[in-house]
Amino acid sequence: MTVFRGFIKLALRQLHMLLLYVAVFVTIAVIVQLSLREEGTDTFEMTSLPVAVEDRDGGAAAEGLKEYLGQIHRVTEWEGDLTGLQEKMFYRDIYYLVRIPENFEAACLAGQEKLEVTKIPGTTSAYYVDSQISAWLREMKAMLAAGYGTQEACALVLQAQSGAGSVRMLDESGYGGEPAPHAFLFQYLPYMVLSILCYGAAFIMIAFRREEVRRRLLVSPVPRLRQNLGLMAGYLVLGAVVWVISLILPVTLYRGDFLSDGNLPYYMANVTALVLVSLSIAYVVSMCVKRAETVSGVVNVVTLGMCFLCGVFVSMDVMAAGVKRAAAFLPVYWYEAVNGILSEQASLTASQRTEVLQGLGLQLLFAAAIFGVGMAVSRYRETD
Amino acid sequence: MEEKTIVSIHNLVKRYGDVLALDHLDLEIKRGEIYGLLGPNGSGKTTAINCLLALLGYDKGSIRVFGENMEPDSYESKRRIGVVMQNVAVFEELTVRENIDYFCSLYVKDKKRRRQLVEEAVRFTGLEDHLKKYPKKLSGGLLRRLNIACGIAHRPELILMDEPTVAVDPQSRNHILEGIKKLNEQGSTIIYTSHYMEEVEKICTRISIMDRGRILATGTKEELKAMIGTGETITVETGGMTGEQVEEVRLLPGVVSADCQEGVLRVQCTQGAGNLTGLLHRLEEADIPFGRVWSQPPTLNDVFLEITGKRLRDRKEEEEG
Repeated sequence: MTVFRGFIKLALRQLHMLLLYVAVFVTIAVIVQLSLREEGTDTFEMTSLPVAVEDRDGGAAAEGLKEYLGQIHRVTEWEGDLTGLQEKMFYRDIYYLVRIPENFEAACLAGQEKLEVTKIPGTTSAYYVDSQISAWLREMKAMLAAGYGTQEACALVLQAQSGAGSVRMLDESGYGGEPAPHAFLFQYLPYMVLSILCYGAAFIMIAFRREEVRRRLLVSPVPRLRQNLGLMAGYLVLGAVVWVISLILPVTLYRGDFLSDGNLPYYMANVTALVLVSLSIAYVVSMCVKRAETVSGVVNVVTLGMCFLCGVFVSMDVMAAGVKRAAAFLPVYWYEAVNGILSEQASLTASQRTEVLQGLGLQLLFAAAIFGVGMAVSRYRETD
Repeated sequence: MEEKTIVSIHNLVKRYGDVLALDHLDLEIKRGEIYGLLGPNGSGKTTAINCLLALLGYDKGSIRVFGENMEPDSYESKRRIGVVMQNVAVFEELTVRENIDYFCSLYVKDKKRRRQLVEEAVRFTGLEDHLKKYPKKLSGGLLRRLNIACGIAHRPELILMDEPTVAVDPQSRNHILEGIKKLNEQGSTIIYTSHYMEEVEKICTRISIMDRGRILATGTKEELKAMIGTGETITVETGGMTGEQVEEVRLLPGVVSADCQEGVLRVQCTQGAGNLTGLLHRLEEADIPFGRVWSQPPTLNDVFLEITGKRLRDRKEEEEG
């Protein structure tokens, strides 16, 4: 109990550091979440691009094509040279150029010649406009084949194309197709939890493991086992405090949204697993760091390294396959994997539930393995 | 019945590989003593203390404290022992009061009693004005006092002090030494190790001189001084002496050594009467003018040097010890 009391006393001395981390974390999480929300995709709108048209025909069909493109895109007439076009495309002032040849109706619509276009290779915008032009040409050919005149056919195609289809976003997350608002907070959570626990534990254990203090404790009438149990209890209390903070934050910031989330128990389980993993990492770090001056460096390498590799700061979607494979050997990766499923699915299917449970189980295995390493380091240190 | 012998070490052997750190060490410390343990670096003092506190295992022999074998799990004996380490052993993150209270709480659970003991330790070490300071803000002397307060706050019956005055200013040292005497008067038995002969001479009731893991001599300071051949040291202020004249002094009966530097003649004699008169008679005969004359009995330093040898220890040898 005495050693536990000492642990708590020393932990309270680090309170300012804990508050600082929480404040920084909340600020960043909220700012990122708000900025992403502004450019959200909860409503559907067709993308409009700057498209240039070089009309060498001037006929009714050419006018029909231009009118059709103008319905979707920002169409401008192009009369410049190739160098000017390349420059405009480089700076994305123009995404696509359509050259309507002379005798367009006879050459292109009759299928004798292909429409000449210039586009930015390999871009979605190129495919996007390609498909629209193809659709127009296909429908025009059908209309002309059906015996309509050019102007009539153009009007009918335009009418048919202008009827905007009803688009409804697939809402699997329960938040209009967007990830849950608290998802960002949980995404960044490992950084806060790891940092607080590693810093806190390292500073406390350095104080307890200082040679002279350790000797004073060893010559005291408090049995060694009770001293170690006191330290373990201190670790658990520290972890419990961080666990509570981790769950109070989303409740405070998102209230009903979070509390009514069907995945709430899984979020809680995931945070519990994360805290246990972080405690075990903190234990190893505190066993390895000898001097207070080196704590900051070691903790930064461990927490930032793990957070960058495991998709805390940068989404795993943009990472190379090799990085993902390597990250799978780190526990935070599995936390983020579980968090990813929970934030995108309002209710889990059986296979998703299995994935979530696997992720939680793997984190617990990591926690046990890392704690084992910590015990081995501790034993080595004692006999050293 | 209260045991008279508090610490009894018998035939203790401790090896570090091939190095024999404690060589069949025998030691007996009685209740109420201030027991000084003197020895050059590497003589085995700290090893002996560590074995006594069950911080180190040993190869042979026995250690009994308060009549019980001392083992790592001798918690009842440990409860009655206080330790003042050579290096300051406190939490830098806690204030002076918190440190004393914390280390006292390892021994005393009752809060009320503990508060009282902490107050006493604070008064005893003169730290009243520094209770809210952190150790980093304390001077070397105050830190040492805090170190002592943490070791003695629970009012132990046996206190082990391992060079508690290293790097302490004279005022603080005097304060600490007076405190140790007071602790002893209050009933604590004290084992005190130090390099400072004058400290040991001033406070210890019994002294052991240790070297190469063995006790070479034990006794009161008077008994130790009587053990050596060297007696008084006579110092005479002269107008100056030639080498031949100094050599003649050296040949006088009872003179062990003589040396004259800048007109000050220093003569070391064997124990016995008539050394001073013999020397002055010789100076008069040789027509050497002299002024002030004084005689000093042998110090513990003389005893220490004579017993452990004046030769400087090889550094490697010291480190191995």
